[in-house]
Amino acid sequence: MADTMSTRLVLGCAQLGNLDEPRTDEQARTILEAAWDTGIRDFDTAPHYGLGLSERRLGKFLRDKPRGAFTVSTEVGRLLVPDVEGASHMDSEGFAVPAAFRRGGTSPHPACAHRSRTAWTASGWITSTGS
Amino acid sequence: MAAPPTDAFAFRTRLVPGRELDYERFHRAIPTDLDRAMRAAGVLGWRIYRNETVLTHIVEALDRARMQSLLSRDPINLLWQEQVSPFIDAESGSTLDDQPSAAPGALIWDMSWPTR
Repeated sequence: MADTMSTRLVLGCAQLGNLDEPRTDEQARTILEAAWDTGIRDFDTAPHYGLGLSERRLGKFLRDKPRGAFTVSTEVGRLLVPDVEGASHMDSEGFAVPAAFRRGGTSPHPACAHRSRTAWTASGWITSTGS
Repeated sequence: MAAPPTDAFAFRTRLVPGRELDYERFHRAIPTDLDRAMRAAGVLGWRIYRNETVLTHIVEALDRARMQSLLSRDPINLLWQEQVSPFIDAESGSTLDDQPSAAPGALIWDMSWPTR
């Protein structure tokens, strides 16, 4: 599908990373299934959403879907640095997960351009449509 | 793709009074190798809720008997059991409770959380 970038509505996936409160895998799946059934095919996540949890839950859900049917945007190059000290505390940035990783800035690799949160620049988009 | 049939079950354990928060801190992120061992044993999900000293474990596994058999002789799991043993009231043992009746309390750990 050549037009997967043109979907009107994007599902923001911070909630899959336990934003504000914990959610179960099952609840996360229910959210994604409801969105999918509604016709939403674009999903926006980030490594910082639940320190990887949002990306993992989204990935697990999309694993069974046709690769050409959806797009995912995430923030490429955001580093999560293991933090043994932090692991006994909960995250302090709004996600109900243990702070087992520190948000460690960005990768210096030039390919790791960030998605802009305000202007949906193409640099941070990963499309599943292939080419 | 149909999901394979799984075993879902629940059980309860008790903490040593006064050690509740220490247990929560210790258990907040489990070691990555323990997570791998659990998944290799067919554990799909595991959540722990705490109401005072009572822990309610909600587990989903591919095959409960196989999971228990594998984990009971897994050195990584045995080390973990040793590490959490100071927090656990071993005398009260664990109680199978497939339909927990009383309020399980607050979620204190979910296997899907980041590991350490």
